[in-house]
Amino acid sequence: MVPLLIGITLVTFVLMNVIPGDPTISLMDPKRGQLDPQAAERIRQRWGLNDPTYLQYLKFLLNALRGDLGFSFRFNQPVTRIILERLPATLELGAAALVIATVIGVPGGIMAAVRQGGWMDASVTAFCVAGVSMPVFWLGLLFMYLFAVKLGLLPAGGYGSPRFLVLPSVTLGLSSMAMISRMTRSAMLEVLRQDYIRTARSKGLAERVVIYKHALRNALVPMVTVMGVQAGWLLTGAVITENVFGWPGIGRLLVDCIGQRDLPVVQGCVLFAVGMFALVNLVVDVLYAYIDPRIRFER
Amino acid sequence: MQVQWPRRFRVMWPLALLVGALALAVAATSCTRSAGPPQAKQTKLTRVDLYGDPENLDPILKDKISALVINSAIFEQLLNYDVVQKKLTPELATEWTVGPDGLTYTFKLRQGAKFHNGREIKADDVKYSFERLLNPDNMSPLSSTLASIKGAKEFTEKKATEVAGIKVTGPYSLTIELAEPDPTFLLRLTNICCSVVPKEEVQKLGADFGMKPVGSGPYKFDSWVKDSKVVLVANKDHWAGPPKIDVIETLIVKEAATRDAMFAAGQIDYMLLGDPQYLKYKNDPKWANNLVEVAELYTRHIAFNCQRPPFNNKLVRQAINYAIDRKTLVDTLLQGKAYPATGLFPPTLMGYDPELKGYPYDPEKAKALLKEAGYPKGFEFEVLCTSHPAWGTPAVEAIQPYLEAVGIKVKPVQVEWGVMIDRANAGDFQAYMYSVCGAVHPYDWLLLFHTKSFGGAGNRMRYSNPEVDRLVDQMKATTDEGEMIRLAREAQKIIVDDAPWWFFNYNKAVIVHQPWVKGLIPNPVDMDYQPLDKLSVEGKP
Repeated sequence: MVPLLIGITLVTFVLMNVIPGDPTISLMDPKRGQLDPQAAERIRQRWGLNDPTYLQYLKFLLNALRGDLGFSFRFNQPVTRIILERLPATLELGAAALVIATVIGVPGGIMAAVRQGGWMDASVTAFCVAGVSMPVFWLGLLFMYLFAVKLGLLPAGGYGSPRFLVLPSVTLGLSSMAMISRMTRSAMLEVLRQDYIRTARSKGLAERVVIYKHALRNALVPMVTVMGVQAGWLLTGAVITENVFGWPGIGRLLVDCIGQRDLPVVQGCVLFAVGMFALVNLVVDVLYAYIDPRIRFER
Repeated sequence: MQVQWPRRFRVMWPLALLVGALALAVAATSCTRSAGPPQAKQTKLTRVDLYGDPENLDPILKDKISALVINSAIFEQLLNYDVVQKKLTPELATEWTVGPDGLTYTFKLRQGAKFHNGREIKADDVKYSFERLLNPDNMSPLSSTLASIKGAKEFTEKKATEVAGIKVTGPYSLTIELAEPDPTFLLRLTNICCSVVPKEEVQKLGADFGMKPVGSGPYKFDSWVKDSKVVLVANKDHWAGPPKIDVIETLIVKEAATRDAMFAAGQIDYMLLGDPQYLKYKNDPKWANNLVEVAELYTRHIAFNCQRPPFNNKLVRQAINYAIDRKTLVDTLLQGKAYPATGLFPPTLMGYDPELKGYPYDPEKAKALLKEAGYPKGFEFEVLCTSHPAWGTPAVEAIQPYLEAVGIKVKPVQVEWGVMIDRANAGDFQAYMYSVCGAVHPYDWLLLFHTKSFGGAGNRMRYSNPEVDRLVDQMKATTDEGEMIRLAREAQKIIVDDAPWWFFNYNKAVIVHQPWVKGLIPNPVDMDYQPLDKLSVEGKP
């Protein structure tokens, strides 16, 4: 874990220093583009921006190991606080999108597998292809115009009460939903072909029991893998959705800060993303052991 | 034996249940009114920020419009500048006089003006606020605003513990002595960074003062959801009386299409229009009468590096000015959302010369000048630019055919704005395309062409004309406005003739507003800067 974090922060650091542009440009108003060179120099000196690169990285690393993620002079606030302020929005959106994706994707995939070749299967497959190919940006704007402008049912953008969450989470959840339902379908198909399913049916078990207790349980391992990947992606900030709906999450923060060369916050966001993926992986691993006793006993 | 439901139902019911639940949730949330105790009807205005989060609301730390507009409602300065009437008006100072030497300014402060925490503002507070701006420990990028005050330099270099030139002569009177004459000094005092702040709140909140600002203006800070929304509430105890609107909300929406949707849905009350949106609203009969337009104080141009060939030759620069048809470009590329430039100063700037006609479109003359300059076959050059639709790559591509017609090949090199400025400051360019300047006083515009402003101070073109320098220096010492304008116009004539720029156009800034918003003004500095305390909302459904 620690070598991973060091590696990633090092790569981020190098990349941010390689791209042209000085962090003090973030002090300038893009329209007027004026900056007092003495003030800029003062800021560079105070925040060690004139130090040699390796020294800057070492300072960052030593501080990070003590839990201090640094300070952004652009916000004049510590990085930890900047990220924590935007964390709830990202988690809300990610969790809501994941719930929607799972709650509709899994049953859809199951039904497509059970009635393979039927109209249900065809429509779910078509939906999957559409969901993966439709650009999030376009889809989001489409929903916005339909539900907010034409029908006036939901707000077009912004953050606040649960009403604001509906459109962004559905937009974001849609492509995840496509992925999850596809995986569910193929995993279920694989399992339904097995002999033990035929045995279960010939024993006279109710179809519902066969599908959920026997087939689904066995198909869960690959499904949970895909859901884990999707969860990781959704929870670390979906930039495009956040931009389209004006959702104040970490994805937007990261992109803004890269553009403004705000290195401490970029490092903070990257560390958050790494941490989140690690957490999701941990949860998935635990789930594996829970779902499949064979994995549990093998350890 | 149990009845077996058909397979279809047994598998479908969980899905049907879930879809039904979702639909119910959507319906429920869309019908819910926002929670909260019932209140007396409050007028609310929702404006939008196109650029991003204000980042920090401490007036001395930010020069960006996102923070400046919000702070203009929360904080107050000694004086205010009325952009429509083009004159200074009293704010926290009710009277002011300038000594005959042009160095001593005496201010009489308003009595009974209070901070949002209830305490009255005294002259000490002004001195504290100005010293706070100049204090190097506060890392303000704007401390040079008050650099002309006597003793400011020593204070900034930590050679003195206070600024000698700022003298408190009574609880409501203050004298400021300058180290050298500065014709823009009073205008500088209207900057947000010169706001008067309460010492006890700054000390109590520390760095958090930027997260929970306390000022004395017509609006108080209420809440801030980062990257999303800033809410201000009316200051009922303001010395000018309570403002008409109770709550002002600023939504942060960077995506133009989203803003369009929100505006159409009535979520936003007024917004600045981007170039691609302009015609859509202008041609829509519903909105055509709800537009407020102004020639903004920004001149778009291509700046030439006057120290490197081929642009070290004045004839070449003039040739380019003759070779391009500005008017057609403004009508087609910019779809009418600009005014073709006749010179350096936009029509809304003090000192604008209506007599100055600038360069007509004359490709034959351009060819003749090129031949005279020694480039009969033309030449090639690169223009650094951003991706901006009005003064970026699209604009450079639009002028390519005009320049080709006189034998010049121009290639756009697109870079990020920060990178372009860095390179321009360093002189590492042949030409770059940009938009400046935003200042209200022609002196600040002309400073961009002074020899001493090479590099980051603004004269990235490295243009140098001793005659212009002389006129600008004279302007600095003048206190007579008529004389100052005469000098400015003369300097402008020389600059236009020397053509260190290709003068393209002045931006047309446009705001579209809902029919119930009243009081928006055509502000040439920046249309985002509206007098929030003078706006009103009438007939909002």
